[in-house]
Amino acid sequence: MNEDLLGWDMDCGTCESAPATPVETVAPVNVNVTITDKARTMLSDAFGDTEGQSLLVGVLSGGCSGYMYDLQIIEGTEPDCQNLDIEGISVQVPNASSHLLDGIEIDYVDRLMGGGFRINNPNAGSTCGCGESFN
Amino acid sequence: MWLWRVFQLSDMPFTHLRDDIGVLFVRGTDARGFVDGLSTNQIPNDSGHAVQTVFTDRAAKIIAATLALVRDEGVVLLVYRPSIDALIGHLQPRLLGQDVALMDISDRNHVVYEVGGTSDVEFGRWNTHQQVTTVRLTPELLVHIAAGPPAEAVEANMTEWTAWRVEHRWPEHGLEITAKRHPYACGLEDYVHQNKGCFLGQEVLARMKSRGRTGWVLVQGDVNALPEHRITTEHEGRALAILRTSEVQ
Repeated sequence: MNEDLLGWDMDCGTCESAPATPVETVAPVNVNVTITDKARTMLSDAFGDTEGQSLLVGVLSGGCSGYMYDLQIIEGTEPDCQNLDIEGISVQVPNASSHLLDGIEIDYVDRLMGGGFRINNPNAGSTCGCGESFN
Repeated sequence: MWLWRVFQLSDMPFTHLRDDIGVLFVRGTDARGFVDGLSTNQIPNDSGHAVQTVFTDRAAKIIAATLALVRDEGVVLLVYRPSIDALIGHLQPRLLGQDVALMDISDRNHVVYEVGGTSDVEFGRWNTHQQVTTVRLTPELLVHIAAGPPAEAVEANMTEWTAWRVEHRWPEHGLEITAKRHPYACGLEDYVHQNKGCFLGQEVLARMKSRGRTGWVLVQGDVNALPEHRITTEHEGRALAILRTSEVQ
């Protein structure tokens, strides 16, 4: 290594005190969610007889369109989530992604290829072919 | 005469101070997956790896071409400073409650490129030696990151850097790498992983690759042999240019 480069007192990994870039957080929105009859049937089957189960509907970064849906069946209550009871189905939506999920319809598509739960989102400008990612 | 000069320049180790390269620390337990999900290359899980990756928009246009260093605490991104605001603006709305914080630590660090220097660091890895973090980008090219201001002895050496770039068809931020272009148009083919799965702009890039049509391509050649209006960098009779693929002979 070029000797002129040596001798400084720290590297980039020791900047513990560096301030985080302020993040513009979007205010949580009171989410409206609807579930189609087919999706409700499939969710009831998935929940079975176990008490206290919920469908967590979240959004992650990534995918072909920049945002990806994240569906999980969970037990208990996740922190910082809105808890909804939609005709007997418990749904939780994280506040952090509530602005992207207000007005969604959870559907179930019954076909061999590309089937499964599907989210129809009025906030999505576009959706990728597989339906998992939106913009 | 020209051949002798390039040979001499490229044989001579030199440093190139990059005060136009900033440092963005994407910190948190979700940072690696966050960067991986939004950029073109696969970000390894383990600390110690370094990869070049590009953040693109839906049309696969470049938001920022970066060098990513995977650490236990997150991912350090070396970013062309004029692109940092656009990159932060792209990343912020996608944090969505994940354990990710963005820290622009550009003013606390500096970046130096070194051509022809010696280092034990392997390609695709970074290590820290005497408080300087080093990444090997090519057998010849090292990138050093260190805190504080650079030593006075470190010079810009722009002429040497330009000569090396032209000789090695190495694209530069602001010249070849711009927001109007996609990675395949400006020599960043190796930054795009073909099998990593979805990311923003992936469908456009995959379509280009599968059809074998990228539209534009970065080439190196004699100035006289290249269309003048396509030349992006020129040095002593040689040049880099971005041509339509139909213009490439």
